[in-house]
Amino acid sequence: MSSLDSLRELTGEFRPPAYDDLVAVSRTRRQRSVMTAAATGVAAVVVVIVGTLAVTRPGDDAPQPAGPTTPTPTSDLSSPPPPVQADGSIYFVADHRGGDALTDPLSFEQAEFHRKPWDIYLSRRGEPIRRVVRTEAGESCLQVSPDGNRLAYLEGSTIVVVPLDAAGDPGAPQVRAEPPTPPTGCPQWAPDGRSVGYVALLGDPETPLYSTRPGEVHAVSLDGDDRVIASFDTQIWHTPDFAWSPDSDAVVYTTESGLWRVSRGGEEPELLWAPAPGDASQELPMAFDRPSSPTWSRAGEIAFVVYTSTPDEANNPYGTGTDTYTIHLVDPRTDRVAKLESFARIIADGQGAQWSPDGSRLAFIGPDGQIRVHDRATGRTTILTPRPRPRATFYEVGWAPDGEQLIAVQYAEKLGYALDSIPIDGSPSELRTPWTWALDWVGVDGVTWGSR
Amino acid sequence: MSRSAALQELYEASYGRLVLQMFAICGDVAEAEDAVQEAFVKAIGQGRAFDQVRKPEAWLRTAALNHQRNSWRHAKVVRRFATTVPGPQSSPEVGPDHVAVVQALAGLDRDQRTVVVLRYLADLSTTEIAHELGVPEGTVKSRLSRGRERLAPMLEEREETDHV
Repeated sequence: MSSLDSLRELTGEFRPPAYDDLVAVSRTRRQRSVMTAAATGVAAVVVVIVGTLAVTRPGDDAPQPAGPTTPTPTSDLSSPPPPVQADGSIYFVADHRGGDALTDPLSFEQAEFHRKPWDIYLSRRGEPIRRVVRTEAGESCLQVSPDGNRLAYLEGSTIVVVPLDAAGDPGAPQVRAEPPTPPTGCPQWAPDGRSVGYVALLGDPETPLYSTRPGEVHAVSLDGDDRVIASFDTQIWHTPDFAWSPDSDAVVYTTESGLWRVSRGGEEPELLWAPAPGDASQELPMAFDRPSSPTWSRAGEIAFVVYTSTPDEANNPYGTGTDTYTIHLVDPRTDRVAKLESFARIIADGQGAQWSPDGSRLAFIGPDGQIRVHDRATGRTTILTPRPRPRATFYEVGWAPDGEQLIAVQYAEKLGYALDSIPIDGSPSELRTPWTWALDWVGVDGVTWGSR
Repeated sequence: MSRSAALQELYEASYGRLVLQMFAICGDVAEAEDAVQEAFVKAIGQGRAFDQVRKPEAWLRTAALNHQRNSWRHAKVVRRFATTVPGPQSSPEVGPDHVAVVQALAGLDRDQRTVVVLRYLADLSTTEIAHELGVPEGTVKSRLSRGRERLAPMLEEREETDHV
C-alpha cells in the first residue's frame, strides 16, 4: 500500500517515554524560570507575571500558531537576553587544522585518514573558542588540577604542567618531565594537587607473549622531581592503569592478576580484588577476567571495569565470543565488592566510570550509547537522554567541576564531532564547540573542565 | 480523575498519533518526538490553566507545530543527522513504503504539507484546520487543493469517499 493512510500503521511504533520524566523537565524549567526572574530583577518578574495571567485568560485555550500570519510576541523578544552564566573553562585537544577558532574547514577524509598533531583549545561560555597552545606538537591527555590553577598534559610522551591565569590562558611550562617510557595511560593529578602520577612499563617491549614486564607508578612533583611510588610485574598483554586515593597517600593499580593498593610509604601491596580462578588448562591467559580503569572516589570507594572474554565454543580461542565489561565497586575499608552493571561493549579502550567531584555519583556509558548516572546514596541509576537530541550516541563522559553537568564528545554523521555539556537534572544539553572534524579521534581524556 | 492523571492518560493515548503527524510534516522521527514531548512539557507547566483547554489534543498539536517551526535551525540540522547514528533507543519500523510517502510529502512546501497531514492523518475538517493554524479557511482549501494535486497518486484511495 503506497498511500498516506499507510503511515497510520506507525502510530503504535512511537512509544512515549515515561510521563514522570516530562513532569521532571517541566518542574526543572519552572524552577529555573523563577531563579532567572529573581536574578534579572523587577522587569523580568513583571514579564513572568504577565505571562502567567495570559495563560489563564478565559477563552484563550490554545497556543497561538507560529508563522508569518500570526506573529506571537514572546518573552524572548520583549525582555533582554539573560546574562551568560560562566561555568569554568573547558580545555580540549583538536586537530590544529581546525584553526584558531576551530572554524576552519577540515574534511572527514583529512581528519580520519591523515591525522595531524593536536593543539589545545579553550571553550568558555560567552567567549569565542580559542587555541591556547599552538605548538602543533601533539598535545593529549589534558587534566586541570583539583584547584583549577594548573593544567597537566602530554606533549608527545613528555609530561607538561602549566599555570592558568584568570582568563584561562596557560603560562610557560612549570614542569616538563620525561618518563622513562611513554606513559601507558593519561597522567593523573593527585587530589592534593601537589604531584602528577603516571604508569610506565619497563623492560624489553619485544618480550615474548605470556611473559611479564616490570611496571612502575610514578609521581612527578611540581618542582619536576620524578619518584617511583609502586613497582610490580605484569603480563605483557595487560595494560596497567592506576588511580590516586582521595588523600593522595596511596594508589591502586591493575595487573592481570587483580587490583592492588599500595601506600606511598612503601608497604607491601594489598590485593583488593582478584579475578575468579579459571581452568588454566582450558583457557588462554588473555581470556581470564582482568581489571582496568580504576577510579577512586572522594568518598572512598573504588570503581573499576572488569573485562571478560567468553568464547561461544569451548576450547576454541579463535572462534566467536562475547566481550563483557562489568563495573565493579570495591570499598577498601570493608573489602566489600559489588558489581554495578554489565556492558556488552565499550567503545573506547580504557573507558570506565567517572566519579563526580564529591564522590556521590558515578557516570558511565551503557551498552546502548546512553549516559547513565548512578547515585550511590539511593542506589538508583538514571539514564540521561540529552534533549533535544534524544537519539545521539555518546562514547565517553566526564564531569564538570560543580558536579552538576557532564561533558561528552558527540558524533553526527556528515557534521563531525562536537563537545556537548549535559546537565544531570535533565535540562537541555548545550553544544560547547561547533561541529567539526577537528575533534575526530578525541576521547574524553582529551577534554578537561576547570573551575576557573 | 486528577488533573495529572487525566493529562497522563491523554499523553499515553495521543502520543503516537501526534508524533506520527509531526513525523509526516518534518520527516524526522527524533524531531517529531521532540516536538510532541515539548508540547506535553508545556502542557504540564500550564498547571491548572490547562484544565480550561477545550480541545487538549488540538492544543498539544499546535504547540508541537509551533515548536517545530521555532526550532533552532542548527539544532534541527543536528537532529536530522543524529537519527542516522546508531541510536540507543529502538527505532520504529519505518518501512520503504512509509519512507516513500514521507518523501512524497517532503516535495510539498511546508504549509501545504501541514494542511495535508492535518486533513488526512489528523482527520480534521478544513474549518478545524483553519482554526488550529490561524489562517482563513479559503487559504486552507487552496493549500489542500495544491497539495492534493501533487500527491494525487497517494490520495487516490481516499478520493472516492472524501470531498473537501
